[in-house]
Order: sequence, then structure tokens, then C-alpha cells
Amino acid sequence: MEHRRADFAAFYESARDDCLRAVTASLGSRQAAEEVVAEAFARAWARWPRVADHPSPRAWVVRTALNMHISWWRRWRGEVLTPDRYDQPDQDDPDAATLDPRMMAALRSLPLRQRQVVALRIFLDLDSKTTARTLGIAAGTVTAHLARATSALRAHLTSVTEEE
Amino acid sequence: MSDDDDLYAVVRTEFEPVRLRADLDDITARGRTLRRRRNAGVAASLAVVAAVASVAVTVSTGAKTDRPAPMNLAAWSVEPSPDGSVVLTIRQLTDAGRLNAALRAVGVPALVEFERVPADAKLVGCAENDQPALPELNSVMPIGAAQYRGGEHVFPIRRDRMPAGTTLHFVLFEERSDRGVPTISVRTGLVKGTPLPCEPLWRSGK
Repeated sequence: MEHRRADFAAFYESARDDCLRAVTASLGSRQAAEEVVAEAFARAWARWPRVADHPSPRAWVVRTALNMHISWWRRWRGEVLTPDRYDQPDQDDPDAATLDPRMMAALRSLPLRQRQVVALRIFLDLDSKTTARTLGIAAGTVTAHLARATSALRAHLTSVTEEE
Repeated sequence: MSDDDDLYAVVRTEFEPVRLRADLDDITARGRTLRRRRNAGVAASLAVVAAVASVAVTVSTGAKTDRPAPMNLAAWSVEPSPDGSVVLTIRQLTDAGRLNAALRAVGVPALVEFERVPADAKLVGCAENDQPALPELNSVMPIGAAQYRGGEHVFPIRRDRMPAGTTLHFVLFEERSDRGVPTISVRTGLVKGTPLPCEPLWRSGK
């Protein structure tokens, strides 16, 4: 048991921040991401022997966190963050102000799936095959999404830089 | 920016201050609670699955017609369209069992669950389980096709695009504002076989 806990502790320490960053970038909300990522890690611990054998436990945590977040239909009632809310720092969150709203706006400009794909690539450094398995889509689709997302991000961020 | 790696580095740098604040003890304590609840919930889940199966048997042995008739209740309606799709309209969260049967009667194997969200719930949704979600959901229920109009949630379902042996899973959550106004949110999934019942997040270790 102690060995198992130490194993999980090492995983948690090494993965916690990157998983949170990936989910924050995917959801566009640091606060919402923190809640679901913490819950996803708790679930990972609840079934650690199995998760430890996963090809990418970090991808498992991120996928679990994204799945826990309410589905896209929820946006109907404004529960999923709308663009207006995206850029507003959470007053209770000491870290919120440190995220440049322009970066969040650039991510927000991407379709959800592209955002997820690019977040997994940037923060978890997943290859296309693992990303595809994590998101339940074809590897070729991942490649296409990543290319479009990267191109759109570059264009968005470059235009912001030029405006300054 | 010279290449993709430079771009990714910029994004990484920007997110550097984002750090998960929960400590390990908190995470493992929550995990232990989840494990206990999961073990306790197995028996309850089996009972719900049996009840759903019972509804399915009842419907399948009922009167069969070549062309299913629409079913309209005050709370919801299920209407087959000439193009082969089915339009599900939900106005109130009542009688989920009957709605399951109505959908199955028009050729849409589905498990519909209604959940009332407690006022103190921190998260709304279903806990993760090991049942894989099928990507064909986006074909069966195309993004953007669903609508909300005048208090009705309208879901077009392409039953002809459902792979054999799959079942749609709807979980509808009703929350009430401080003034008592209900709002509905929906979680959907498409799975092989019978969906595992939703374990609401507010009951799963919160």
C-alpha cells in the first residue's frame, strides 16, 4: 500500500500542473479546470493499479477531467463559459490575473476539438496516436486538427503582437 | 515565430503560473471515498439496469406497428420524422421510464435519466466510468442541431446513424435559481450495450 501511494504521489507531483494547464486551455476556465482535474486525480487514485498501467496516465486524467466537465449542450444555458466570461479574471483566484486574456482569446477562437488537440500536444506532449485514443477520434483527424489549430493560433498571436 | 515548437513554447510559458493547488492528502482522501462509494454502488447500479431491461421487454412485447406513432405528453414528446430521424422534445423532467420506452418504441435504444441538482452541488455532471463513449454520437446527434426554444429542449436524433447494438444515454439535470426558476442542462453519450447509470458528481465523494 505504501509503495502504491508513493508511486501515485510521484505521478501526482510530476503531472498535476501540466494536466491542469491542458484542461484549462481546453475549457477556457482555470477555476472549472481546477475542480475537475482535482476530481480526476482522485479518481485516478481510486483505481490506481489500473490507471498506472494505462499507456499514458496523464492522458487518462485529462480525458477524465474533460469528460466530467458538462457536455457542450450545457452552453445553452450559459453554464459553459461564453466568450465574455472567458477573459474575465476570477476575482477570487490569485492566479487568474497572470493568464494573459489575449492568449485565452486566441485559444477560445479555436473550435473545441482543435483546442483539445493542441492542448494535449503542448502540455502533455502526446503523439497523434495517443491523442486520438484519448479523445476518441481518428489519428488522421488529430493531425488535421493540430495543423489547423497551430496555424490559427500563430495567426492570432502574431496579429496581436503586431498590433502592439 | 519560426516554427511550431516556438509557438508551443510561447503558450507553455504563458501557462507556467497555472498550478494545481490541491495537496496530495486531499486527493487521496477523495479517492478513498470514491472507492468506497463505487463498491457500495455496484448493487444499486445492477438494480437500475434490471429495471431498464424490464421496461425494454415490456415495450418489445407490446403492440407492434409498421410506423411508430408519435407520443406527446405535457412533459415531453417523441416524434418520428419522415426522413427517418426522431425529434425528442423535453419540457419537464418527469417520467423518465416512460420516455425510455417511448424512444425504444420508435427505434431509438436509449437510457434517459433525470436528476435534480442540489443547491449546494459544486459540480454538475456524471462521474467518469470505464464505459467507452463512441464518437458516432456527433453523427447521431450533430452538434448545433439541438435547439432551445420557448422552454422546450429539442433534440433531433438520427436513429439511422446509430451503430447496431448501441444505446443513447441522456442525463438531464435540473437546477433551480435562487428565485426558483428551473434550468436544464444535458449530458449525452453513445455507448455499446446498456449505458451505466449516471453517478452524479455531487454524490460521488464531494
